[in-house]
Amino acid sequence: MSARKPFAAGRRPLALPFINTLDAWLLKNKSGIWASRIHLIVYYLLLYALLIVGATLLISSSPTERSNIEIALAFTAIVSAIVLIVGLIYLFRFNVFKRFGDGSSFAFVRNFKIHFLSFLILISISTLPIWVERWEAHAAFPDNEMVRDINDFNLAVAVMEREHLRDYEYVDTLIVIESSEIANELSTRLIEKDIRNEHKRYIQPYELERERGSADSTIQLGKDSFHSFHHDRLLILPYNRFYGMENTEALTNMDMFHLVIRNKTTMSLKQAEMRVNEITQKYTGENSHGNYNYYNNDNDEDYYLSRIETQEKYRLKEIEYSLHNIIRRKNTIRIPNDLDDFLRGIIYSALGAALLLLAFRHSTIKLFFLSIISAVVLAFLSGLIVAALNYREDGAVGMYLFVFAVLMTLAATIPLSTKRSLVKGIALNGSMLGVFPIPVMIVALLKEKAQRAYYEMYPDYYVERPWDSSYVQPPPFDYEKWNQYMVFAEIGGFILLFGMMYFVFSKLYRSWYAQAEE
Amino acid sequence: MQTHITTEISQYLQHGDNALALRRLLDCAYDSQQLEWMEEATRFSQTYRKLIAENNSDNWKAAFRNEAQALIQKIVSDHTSATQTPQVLLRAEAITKRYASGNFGLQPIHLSLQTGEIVGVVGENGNGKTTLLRCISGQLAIDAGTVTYPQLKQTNAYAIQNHVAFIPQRIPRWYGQLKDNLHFSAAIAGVLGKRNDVLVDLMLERFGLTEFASLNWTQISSGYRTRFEIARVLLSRPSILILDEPLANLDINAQQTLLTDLRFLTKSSANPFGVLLTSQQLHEVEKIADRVLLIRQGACISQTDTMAVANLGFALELETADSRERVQAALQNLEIEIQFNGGNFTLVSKTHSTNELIKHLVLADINIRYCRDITSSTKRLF
Repeated sequence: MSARKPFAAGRRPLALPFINTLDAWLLKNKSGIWASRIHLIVYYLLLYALLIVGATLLISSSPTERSNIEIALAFTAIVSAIVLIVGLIYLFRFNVFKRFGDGSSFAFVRNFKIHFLSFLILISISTLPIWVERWEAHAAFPDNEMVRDINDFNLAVAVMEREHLRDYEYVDTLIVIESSEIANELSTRLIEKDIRNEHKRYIQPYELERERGSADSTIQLGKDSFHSFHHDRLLILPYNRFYGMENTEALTNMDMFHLVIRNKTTMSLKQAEMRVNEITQKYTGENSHGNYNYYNNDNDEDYYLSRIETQEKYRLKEIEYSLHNIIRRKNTIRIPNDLDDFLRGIIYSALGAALLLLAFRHSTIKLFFLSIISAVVLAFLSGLIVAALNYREDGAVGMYLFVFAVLMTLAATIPLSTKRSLVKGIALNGSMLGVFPIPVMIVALLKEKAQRAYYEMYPDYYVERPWDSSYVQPPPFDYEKWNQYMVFAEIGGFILLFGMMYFVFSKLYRSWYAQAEE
Repeated sequence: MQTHITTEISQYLQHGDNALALRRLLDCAYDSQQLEWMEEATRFSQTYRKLIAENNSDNWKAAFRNEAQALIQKIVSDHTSATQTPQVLLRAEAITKRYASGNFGLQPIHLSLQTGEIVGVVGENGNGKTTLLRCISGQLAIDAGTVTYPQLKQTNAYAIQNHVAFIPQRIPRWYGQLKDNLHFSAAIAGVLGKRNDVLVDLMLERFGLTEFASLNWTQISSGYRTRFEIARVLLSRPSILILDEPLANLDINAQQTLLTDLRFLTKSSANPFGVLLTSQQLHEVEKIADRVLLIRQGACISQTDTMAVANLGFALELETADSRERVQAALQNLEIEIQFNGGNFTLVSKTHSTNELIKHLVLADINIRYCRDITSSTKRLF
């Protein structure tokens, strides 16, 4: 006869049996990990992630439409905040530290890492709508397909409008003149002769590089003359405006020149019309350019071309709007440009939250909130002192290090006390929360000094003087190197934090909490 | 050999004190520290506990007695426990404490506690009982005097907190299921794996909590919370158990059970410990405590073991429906002082023992509803 009920069976909502089994095993064998609730956190966050993915897919619109990711993100942020609060109340309520049991330094650091990981997962999940939207856009409109469509569209429209484009100025003729006086005079004459002939220009050697840089491509005609081709002439859909598509297999202006103007394309007019219809249908959901209202002045070549250019014809506005929306969805977080900042945002947010949680779990409620207030007051006062004394970066970093040293010294005296002192508790919380940024701040200060030294050494570092053969262009400031140092400093910050946690903070917290009240 | 416990359980079984026998059987299994016996005793208890509580048929009693006898024999034959020499766990010398706010202060108090000993602290509300307990447990800093824990190798605050378990009157809320909390407490005290399972099940049975194992804080009464807290604390095997008003939330039967259990458990050979407790239930505490301290306005005005009976005389507390005149008439030839507090009489005599007093009252046909020998009780000092 037994009155026992099955233990830990299906008592948590949505928990699969393996989670309950794991929970029961951890409880009896790894109480520290059990108390950190990592298994439940990961499991429920996984369910939460599925919910977010499902909800994002459910409410998502076509990738060609304007993204409403902001709404999804706001909703996710609110739900995540609720999840966090519920998590803090529900998941973290078992506190090994306050039970005077397994109080090893290893457990202290391990629990922090687990909490840090939990916050990393939670915050990462909050960004899921962005990735779901990105994935949707990529799945519906792969990059190579978009490039092909844009190329085809440009080519097809050019084929259809060949007669109009043939005379269109799509190319600049550049003549390089060494003497600036002669170049200026020739330019003046050219303008006096025919103001519209702006596609023939006299330039000086140093301007050539700039011209080459801004052109799609250039062809050298003679010793000192060039044709430069510009994208905004023959390319109706200028896809290289869009992020991430600059380096695609796109047609250049010169390609178009050869294909269309030089009649190298095999695309017939009929094929071109079909392709334009197809692409228009694909990106706008409606058919082609058939509803174009011809204007009386369409016979005027300039007006007509400008009508194409200003995208009134071929539903260009709508297609470009769709393309813009698709590309924006694909690049809400631009990779690699934004990736560093994105990852730093997640890691720092998770680190801040985990440190606050750690301080909360190892303090009394009174001490925790007093520590937060003290941190705000200290920051305010330090800021005032730095401002009043007109300190620069080194002064601010110096002030930070000074405050940290004072807090750390106070905290270090905890084992010498017999009573639990609030001031020392605040110092302990403050020094733990403030240790991570130290290497980062030092590297930031060194970078600032190096940058200042660089500017002092090269006051006109930003002036380009390629025409001056005697001028030695200063080496650029090595931002790449300093960014690398910053990454090392961040890693160093983590090592310092974990080291201090293991060797110092865990012992000081244990000592402080066990002491008698005053 | 644990012959005393075998005899004790046999007597309980013989006289039909089955519930008590079952509890002592569990104690015996716990003392053996053998998983096999702990598991078997727990199973045995789970099988018979309800039948004992219901007590509505005799069919099971013979089987229960036989199985219990067999089990106790198996445990005792397998396990030899060394006789424990009492060891001093705590020594407080002239400790004082004054709060920064308020006029109350604890006067110099001396106190010691050893393994297997129960010391009761009694006194009216607001006289410093809880302050004394918190000072001794290391929760509250003392102003003067010393508190030493001779069994501790390290004397830092953390070691003291692990050495001393303090159960406050208002038990802090816990979360999750009752059983999870017990597993958790055992695990952080280093009791892992199957041992954790077995010990928790044994404790649940020992404190009558098995039926409540899957319930949470809000689903159990304050009495059961007290039982749970004691079970939880015992799983971490403290050397000193300090309880502040543990009887406050218990009914009269539960009070008796708890105090008896404390009496038994402190003598455990596997985990002997000392108990320091406060209570308003003076008589109940005096029944099981080795010593009782009376605290008044922060000062210890008496310890029962040092109280000289000769100086104070014999004392009998009496409740009767008869009038004072009849009581006086019954005792008229004796040297006696009679006090009446509106409910009870207190009869004090320097020459006549309490037995003599009772004899005279019975012979005079006084209708005695209740009487108690309070010669050695701190009740006299209230």
